[in-house]
Amino acid sequence: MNGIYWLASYPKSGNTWTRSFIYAILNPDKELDINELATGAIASSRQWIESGLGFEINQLDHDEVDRLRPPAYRWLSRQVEGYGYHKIHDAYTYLPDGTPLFPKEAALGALYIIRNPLDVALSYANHNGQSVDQTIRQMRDPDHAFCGSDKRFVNQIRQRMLSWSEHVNSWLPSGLNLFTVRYEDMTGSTEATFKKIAEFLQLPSDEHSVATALEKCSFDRLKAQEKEKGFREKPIAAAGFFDNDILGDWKTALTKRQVTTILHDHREVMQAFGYADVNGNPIET
Amino acid sequence: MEPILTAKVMHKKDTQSLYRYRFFGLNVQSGIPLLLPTADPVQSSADVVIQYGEIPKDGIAESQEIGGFCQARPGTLWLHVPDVAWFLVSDGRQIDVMPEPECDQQTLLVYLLDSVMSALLHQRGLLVLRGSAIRVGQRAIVICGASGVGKSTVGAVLIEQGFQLLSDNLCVIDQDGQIQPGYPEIKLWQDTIEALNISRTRLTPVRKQIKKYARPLQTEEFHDKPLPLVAVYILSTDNLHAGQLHPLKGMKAYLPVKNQTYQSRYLIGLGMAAHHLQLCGRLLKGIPVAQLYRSLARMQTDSPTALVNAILADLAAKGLHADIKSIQTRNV
Repeated sequence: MNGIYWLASYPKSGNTWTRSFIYAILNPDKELDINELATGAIASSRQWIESGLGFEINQLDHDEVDRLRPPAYRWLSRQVEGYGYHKIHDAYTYLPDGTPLFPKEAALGALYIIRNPLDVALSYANHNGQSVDQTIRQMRDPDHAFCGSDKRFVNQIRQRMLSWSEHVNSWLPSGLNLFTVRYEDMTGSTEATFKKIAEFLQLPSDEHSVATALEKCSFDRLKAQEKEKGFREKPIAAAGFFDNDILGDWKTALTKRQVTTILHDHREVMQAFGYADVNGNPIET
Repeated sequence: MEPILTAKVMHKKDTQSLYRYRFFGLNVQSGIPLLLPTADPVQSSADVVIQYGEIPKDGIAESQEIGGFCQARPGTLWLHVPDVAWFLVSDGRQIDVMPEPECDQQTLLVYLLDSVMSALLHQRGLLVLRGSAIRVGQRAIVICGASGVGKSTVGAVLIEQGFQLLSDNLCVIDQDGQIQPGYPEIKLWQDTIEALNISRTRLTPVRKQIKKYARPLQTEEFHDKPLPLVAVYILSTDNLHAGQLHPLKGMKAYLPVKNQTYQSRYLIGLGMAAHHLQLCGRLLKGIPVAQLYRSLARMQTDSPTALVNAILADLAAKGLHADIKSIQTRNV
């Protein structure tokens, strides 16, 4: 059965690494180029949505565009040959009449990648070229959205993030065929975790294929490519996209107050995913 | 300014009125006011008729789906824009329109004058590019690019420097290689208006729901006669090459321009794909093409000028220095 898989995550949670892996495992004979990760359009790609409709949406407001997303995805999902893997940063939200923006019938399933918000805050701040405190406020904000300007044209459509906790809590009960994976398991138990990802996404999941793909998209390789020729998806403001090594981790880079704030904002979800203990203290993963 | 009309009012008010226009080299007769300058009473018969009509709501027979709301077969394109209207485009000569009950005139025109009109122009065998056409001497250049990349912003800067536009968004090249003048207006987002300090006095909202505005072009800002194409520039965003102009040669020139075709997704359904390929090959032969990059960051106040300067420098290198100078001198 053909169709779409969503690769869903809050930003800076491992989506690009996952897409690199998918590309590598589907193209074993090709070199991986971080600027040519053609696994499928991002869910908020204006061009992709317009191809699902048959007309332009560049002179509609955000709410009007939202009403057109469900029929666009329904049509697009019917056209896919094989499987399409599409990144999505949107929270799982609904139109005023209760229709989900990403209808169940338009997707075979969703891989949801979650990462410790303490690390997300650090990485997201670097990505946006802004302070960690500003990022923490954004991660708490239920109205946080990408591409939400109405004064200028943006090449992606508006993506509502909600808060970090609400983002997680929006995808989990969506009713989609969902597989949730922790970024920390992707780094800590790499082969085993990516094997499970491959199985869920109906990709080749034998040991050799997984290992070969992982080798091609190792962090060092991705970082080296970025250094050599740049990465198209890196914003100008960010020092580097593949930034795990330069940022250190939250234990050294966040202040005590910042850690406390994030725990206060997102305690329940952090506890549910092993990022905080029953007393609300951070667990070192 | 004409008031914004709803569909009910449009139907009642204007079923008997006929408006005449001329754009893209066509005499157009319309039962729907297009909010464009009208042409003199027609001397010859209309090339294109736009009218209200009954259109099947579910589509047309023996057609290909182009997205969930569009179907086409050779000679006919059916389009439904939810909450706006149904459109039927026939044989490059007729556009039928059936507005939804709550549709407003401005929203209807956004679709009628862009996507729907592009389908008619494809049916007529014309080359329709997404681009702004600018007069340079006795010829014209086209600045192509994806929606929102900054073509109109660059066009606005060129107008300030004394250049004339032939079109702002739809650039139509006929079978003789002539760029045909389009709608005498330029549409800009609020961001650009603020950055370029454009006077608000002649701006009208494109739609009340969005902060995009139309500015009619004055006689000295708009060239209303066809001109031969002399060069194509493709504007795109690329952080790695921002500010650079790269000439393209051979197939590397042909494909990017072909890919700037407006609503190219309509061509296969309309049975015009082969014709389009041949047309591109013929019309673009020998035409210099260059890729021009800007960064993904917002266009700051000086970026459009930098892009314009890159284009003008390239044209000067092609021997058009005198044409550019005379325009700029006139504007001083």
